[in-house]
Amino acid sequence: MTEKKNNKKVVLAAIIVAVIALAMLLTYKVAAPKATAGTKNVTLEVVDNNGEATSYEVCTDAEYLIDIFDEIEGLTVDGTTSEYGLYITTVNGVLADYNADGAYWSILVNDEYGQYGADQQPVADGDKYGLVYTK
Amino acid sequence: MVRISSLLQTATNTVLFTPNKSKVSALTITNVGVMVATMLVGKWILASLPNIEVVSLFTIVYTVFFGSTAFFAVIVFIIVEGIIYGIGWWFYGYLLAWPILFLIAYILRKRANRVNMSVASALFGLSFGMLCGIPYGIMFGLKAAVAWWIAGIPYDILHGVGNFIICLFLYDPLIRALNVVKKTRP
Repeated sequence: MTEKKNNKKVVLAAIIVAVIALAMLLTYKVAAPKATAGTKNVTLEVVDNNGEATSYEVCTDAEYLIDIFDEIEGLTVDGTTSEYGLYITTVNGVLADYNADGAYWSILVNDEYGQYGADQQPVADGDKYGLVYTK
Repeated sequence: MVRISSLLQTATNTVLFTPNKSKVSALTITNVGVMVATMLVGKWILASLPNIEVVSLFTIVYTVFFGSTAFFAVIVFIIVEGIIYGIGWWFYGYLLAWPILFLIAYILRKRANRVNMSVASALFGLSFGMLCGIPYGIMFGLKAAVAWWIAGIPYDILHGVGNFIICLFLYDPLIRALNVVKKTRP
């Protein structure tokens, strides 16, 4: 009898958690950044630790910024992947070590700080992206 | 209603002034050390699984079992994490989120059972991104914080569901194990 009551409580608890999780998932589906298919012309500018800028013009079908990195000849981007997505550590051989001196690689979208990581930043036609060494 | 000031006072008295009100209790220090060690090792072992963790479970179980002493374990855990990984914005998120879980477990400890605590643990996991988003918002702005929170929702869901299942299955065995240790202690 008690076990049956306990099982009911577990099921009720699971339903409560599932409903909240579902509501959050719906929020994500509605509000998360959306990528668009098709060809886009975009610019990627890398500003290194000496403030020197290198600009790349790209014609791409990539949906997210991370996909562009592999398409650009002469550009190398390395990083670590965690539950928060890709954390860029090295661009064109220049390491930004936050633990050593507070340096990191910022992602700029149309000259403003981006709100997403490279793997979540949708690519839109005509956009200008920046990878800027920031300290 | 628990008053935070009286809670902190109780915790301070428990840690610093037992048993003879003049010396730090070696047993309490050891307890805090073991609590922190298990939290750190538990986190490290499961680090490869995104947002599947046992720190929430340990925080809840230790708070139920050790009461306010667990607060110090939570704070030391956060500090050690900061020392290991460096102080970033996330550190301030941890400083907010984990003590909130302690507070919830402390308030619920009189009605603690695996179902109540599993729900509490699940809700904590689901809201973890939102809690960490508060210092993120203070540093980078509300718009950035909301965008960051939304982008991390799938991981928050994983966190909440993982916490629920882990607590549901491991809460009772851990409490039983701690009771066994308590009984066999000289």
